[in-house]
Order: sequence, then structure tokens, then C-alpha cells
Amino acid sequence: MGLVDQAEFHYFHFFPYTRLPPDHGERESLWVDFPNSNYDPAVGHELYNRYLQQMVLADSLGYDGLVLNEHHNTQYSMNPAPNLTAAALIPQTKSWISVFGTPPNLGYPNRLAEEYAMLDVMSGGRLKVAFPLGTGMEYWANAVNPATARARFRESIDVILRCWTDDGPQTFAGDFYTYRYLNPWPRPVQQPHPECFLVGTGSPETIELAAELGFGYSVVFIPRVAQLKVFDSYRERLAHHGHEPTPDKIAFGVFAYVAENDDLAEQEFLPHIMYFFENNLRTTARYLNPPGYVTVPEFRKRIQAADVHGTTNWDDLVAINRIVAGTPEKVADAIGGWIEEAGANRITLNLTIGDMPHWKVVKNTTLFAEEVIPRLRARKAAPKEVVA
Amino acid sequence: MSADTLLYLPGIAGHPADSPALDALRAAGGDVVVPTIPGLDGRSGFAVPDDHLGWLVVVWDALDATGALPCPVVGASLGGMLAADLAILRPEAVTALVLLAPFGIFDEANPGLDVYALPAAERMGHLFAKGVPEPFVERFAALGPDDGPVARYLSDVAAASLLWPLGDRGHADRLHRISCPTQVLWGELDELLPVAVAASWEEHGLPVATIPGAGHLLEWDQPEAVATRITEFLN
Repeated sequence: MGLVDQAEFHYFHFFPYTRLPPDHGERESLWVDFPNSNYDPAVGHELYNRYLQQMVLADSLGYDGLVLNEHHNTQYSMNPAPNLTAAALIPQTKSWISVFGTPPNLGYPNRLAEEYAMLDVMSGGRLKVAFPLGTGMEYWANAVNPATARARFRESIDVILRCWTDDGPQTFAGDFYTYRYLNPWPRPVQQPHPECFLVGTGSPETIELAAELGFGYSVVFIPRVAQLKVFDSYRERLAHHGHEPTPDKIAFGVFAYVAENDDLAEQEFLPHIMYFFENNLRTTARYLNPPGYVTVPEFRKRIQAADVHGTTNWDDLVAINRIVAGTPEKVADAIGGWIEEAGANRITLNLTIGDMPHWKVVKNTTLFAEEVIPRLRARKAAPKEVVA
Repeated sequence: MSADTLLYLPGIAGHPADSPALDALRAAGGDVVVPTIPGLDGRSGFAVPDDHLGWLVVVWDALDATGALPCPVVGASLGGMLAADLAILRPEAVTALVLLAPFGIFDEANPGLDVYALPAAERMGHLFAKGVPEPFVERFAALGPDDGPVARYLSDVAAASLLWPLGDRGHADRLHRISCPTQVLWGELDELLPVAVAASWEEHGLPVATIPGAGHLLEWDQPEAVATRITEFLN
């Protein structure tokens, strides 16, 4: 068994709202204060149905799992409550459902433990969970002081794990969350609990916490080369805490588009991935970094780092991210190389991106499932080189 | 401690140096004690308290360490919010109270500028009506290009944690507990807390006077006028 042929391919969907007003380009940010008067529920209804159909299609094509995430006050995602979407998907699917995920500190953690347990029971044990701190933007949208975000995050995970692993009723006396009777019903099917990840951008604190808890690590929005150092650090800390650093404990994202030839693939993909980076991700440093949201080491890093939110240079994007468009062979070569390079094989696939029309999503999702995954499953050795 | 001692709690941008207003107060014959409020000084290693009560404990420890209390207390901006709570919760500690554009009450009709939604480099300019005073410009510069921004960030974090998101900590429900003589002063050009917000304090029986030509940190914009008002009130 090799690293590549054992890779898992999880189909991710942002659920973007794509009907932007003509003058949206004049706005510095399409997050936080982008007026919700620009949201048309009729359009949203059509998009929800379309996106759910796409997820069901991915499931029927044999992807290992479906992945949802959560954001607020933005056109980037229509999933402010991804557990609702997961619940809608469960009766229509058979693969893993990953909620990657709800920041546990934005609400009451016992409630989140209950919701995840519900999903796990409803799906017969098909739930995977990731706990993100959430972007800085979420703290402008929710009633949580960003200065307490990390402390709340840590404590909320403790509450959730206590809900899942300890018999109730029990008491919990924390700094932020206090319970006389912590005794949530239902409890998850998967024991001791569904597989858990932390979502991170490379901060040492998050790596350490994931390693300490034995959680997986899902990396987002840091340059590819930097990710490799993060993975090494995570594996080292994971082993330090007595957990086996298996390749499936690291999840990383890939943006891919498959077509009949390379030129056509780039031609069909480019407008939508550029839309994603130019529009979906358009925000400002001040919204990304509310006071107290980042630690001092992270603050030092951020004031020196390139900002990928709203970046419009294609070469920079390709250098920073794992993006490939081309024939099945080219896409398989690139992804196989990235798996070998990372020593990790939990792939979060971004096959639908930005304002990609339905026919392209269906085409890409189908070709990837039928032409790329089988090529990767058939591989036993590392490919010759990484193609980006 | 001198019988004429007063205690000054600085505002949202901390206390980079004594202001001309404090110099004028001292020249009028009093001593002015400025406590070091943890966090606002930009030093690392300070854990921001989880909530408002936690902050009050931190601040009261700092105030008690000066040995100045009981005495008149002047609080500016977020320091005014803290000074008001000191007078409300520890009335024996405050013999007279002067509040300079205090936070503590959010007025939906006059929301003011969301200073933390501004780029960090632009925030300071909105605190003053007459340009950023040199001590604020230079405050963390001596720490160098690597550590200076970090110190400024930590100071911002401490202040923001006290004020996030609206600068309202429920003072409207407890201002009636203030029992000492009190004077509220407000800059007419305040961008963060528009002068109309002063009415929310006046409604609770606290007399308000406005200072022309002054922004949010009015004691820096109009030091003589503010010092004169304070001196007249305390005398």
C-alpha cells in the first residue's frame, strides 16, 4: 500500500452566493459589512438546490467524503450553519460527511456537541469534524470578543470532548462555560467520538493543540512551501504526544479542473478561480485581524506575509496554492506529486469554485472521479515531478 | 500622599507621556498620579482578562498600588468608563469625579466611528481634532521596527478587549449609583463618541460641558481649557 493509492478524496463546496451587484468591484471587502440587501433569497434558493445536487452527484460518483465549512456575513459562503446542510445531505448520501466546521467558541459548545452527535447518529457514524478558530471576519459578525477567542476556543473543545467521552451528568466549571448538568443526548455513534481535526494556518499554538489532542490537522491559506514545514512540525509534535503521525491525519486543499486538453482546461477554469480569489476572498487586513484575534508570533508573521485574500496575480496564486488544470494525466501527476511531497494523503478537493456554472461543475466533478482518481489509485510509486 | 492629589486614568491610546493638561493641573497646585494600566502599556506577558469584572480587578490593583485613593479621579475615554465604575462600586475611593468623553454607553442614534474597523495606521488620527501629538507618534518607535508594532498591537488589544464591540458595558443601568460630585467634559469634534452621546450621561444627572475644538482625547487637543475646567470644578 502506498501513499498515493491510499489517498482519500473529499469533495468540498463553499456554497458561494454568486449574484453580486454590478458595482461590487468598488467595495474593498465583500465580507463583514457587505450589505445583505444584496442577497436575493430567490437566487439563494436556486443555488442551495444546485449545490446540494452537486454534493449528491459527488457522493454518487464515489468520492470518499463531502466537506462543508462555515462563514458569516459574506457572499463567500451560504453556510453560516453547515450542520443544517449536513443534515440535508445525510439521507441522500452514503459517504463521509465532514463539517470543517463550526468555530466552537462562537456559540455554546454543549449545543455544538449535541448537533454533531445528532449528525453522527442520523448518518450512522459517517461524521467527521474539524474545529476552526474561524477567520478574523467571524468575530466582527458574532458576539464574541476576539481577545478571548483562543481561550474560548480551547475551553469549548474541552467541553465538547467531555460531552462525548465522559458519562453524564457531570459538572463543568470553566472560565467561559459553566454547567451544572452536562449531560447531552444523543451521544455519537463513533466511539470515543467522530474523527476530529483542527483547522490551522500554521500557528504553533494550533499545531500543538492538534498534536496534544491527537486530532488531525487541516491546513488552509498558507503557501505550499510553508505548509510542508508546518506538516513536519505537526508530525513531530504528534509523535511527541504519543500519537502515530499517519498520512491521513493531514488534510490539504487542491484546486483542480479536468478537461479534454490542457488549453481547454485552463480556459474553462481560469475565470472561476480568479473570481474566487478576486471576489469571494476579497476582504481587508483590518477585518482579517481584529484586535486580539492573533497571537503575537502570528501577528509578527502576518505583518510580513503576503495576503492571499483578494490576490489577483495568477503566478502568485499558483505558487502559493495547489492549483492544476489540464488533462486527467496532468492533474493526476500534480496531485500525486503533492501527496508525495507532503507525506499526507487526505485531499480536500475544490472542484467547484467561484461562479463556475453547473455544467462545468458536473463535467469537472465527473471527469475527476472517473479519470483522475482511478489513475491515482493505480499508483504505487512517486511520480517524477510536481507539475503546478 | 498630598491632599491635593488627583488620579488620572488615560484613554483608548494609553499614556505615552504627561500631557500639557496634566502639567497645567500640576501648575495649579495639585499632584497628578498616573497609574500604569497593564496591557495599555504594550508590554508583553499580560493576559487580557476574560470579562469586565476581571478588568476592574486588574485596574483596581493598579490604582490601589499608587496609594492615591481616596482622591479625585479624572478618567478619559475608556479610562472614564473605568473611573465611573470605580465611583459606582467603590464610592469611598472617589471624592470627586471628572469624566472626559467616557465610553460605557452606546447610543444607537449616534454610533460614531468604529475605530477598530480602520486600518491600524489610520486609527490614531481619528482620536484628535488637531493632529496626533508627538508623544503618541513616538510612543513605541524606540522599540524598533520589529517590536514597536507588536507593542502597539498589544496596547490596542488591551483597549479593544475593554471596548469590543460597541464600548458599552451597561453603565446606563448603574450611573445612578454615583454619589460624589461629578463633571463630564466632551470634545465637540469627537469622532468616536459624537458629542450627542453626552446626553446619555446627562440623563443620569451628570452635568456635561463641551469643549470646542477638541476631539475624543480632548485633554490633548485643548489642554488649557480642559485643565481649567477640571481645576474650577475640583475647587
